[in-house]
Amino acid sequence: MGSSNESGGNTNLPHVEGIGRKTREASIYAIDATDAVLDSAVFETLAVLVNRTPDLVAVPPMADQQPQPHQVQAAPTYTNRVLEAQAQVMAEHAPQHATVDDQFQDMVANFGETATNAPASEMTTSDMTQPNVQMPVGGNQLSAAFTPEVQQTYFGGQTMDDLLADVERARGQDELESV
Amino acid sequence: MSLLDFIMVPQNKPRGIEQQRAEAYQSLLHWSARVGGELFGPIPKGTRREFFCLDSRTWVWHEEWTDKAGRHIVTTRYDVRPNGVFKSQGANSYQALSTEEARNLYNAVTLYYQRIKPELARLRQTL
Repeated sequence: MGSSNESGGNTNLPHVEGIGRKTREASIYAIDATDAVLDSAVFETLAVLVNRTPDLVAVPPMADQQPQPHQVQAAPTYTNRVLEAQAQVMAEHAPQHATVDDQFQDMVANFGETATNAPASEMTTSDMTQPNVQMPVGGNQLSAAFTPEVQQTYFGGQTMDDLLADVERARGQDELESV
Repeated sequence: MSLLDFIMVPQNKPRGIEQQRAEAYQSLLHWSARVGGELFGPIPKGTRREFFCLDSRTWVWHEEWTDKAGRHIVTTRYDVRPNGVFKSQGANSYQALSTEEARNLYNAVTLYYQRIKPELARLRQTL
């Protein structure tokens, strides 16, 4: 994947290789599919996380909060939507618990095969056979990859622009080094 | 809503369209994975980090790095179930998330959404 963006989109992001070379119909179809899966996944994930860990959201969302310039609008609004949709999402899943549990057991039993549903070039099956492999920094948790600087910058209460600026600086530095 | 709902097309569709849809979707998945990997801060040189939404119930963290012991590849799956989110790095190692990790996943998913969602709309407009 290159670092340029020929699609006319946000130059902060890498170019989506392949999209421009497909038919418009196929590209739009893929975008809609990604969009819909993302919506579904985020709603379900956040709803389950909030439901299972009630104190997860430390700051209650403000329904009338207006986004500031450059501030991502999704956060406060989205959190509200999650909380509102939580009961509905859980209600929809409730009758399916037995089925989902069965499927989960099947998935555990056949995890080697299910893992291959991921993009082939991005995943290997070899690491799936090594349980509890340590993450590179400080343990086996998602938190390991948050650098202290990023945690302080973003989760300390400032905007995501600070985080993105760090990413851009790092990418720029990488590009300079690669020239 | 599963990925298959989108990738699988009606039988009267020419196979070429199906193939193009699948390839375009995979391109977006790779792109999302790369963007997702950058949400956690600068990626150390020589490290490949990807974080992405595989389907409506699965998030994947993929990391490759090299140290004195050699090259390492770790893929962590976060499976969303009605009774919680479980992670796995092996066939028999499903674990419930700690509160801290659940919070980090919450933040990561939120950031991912904030980053990817607008770009999908932007991409759609450029086609």
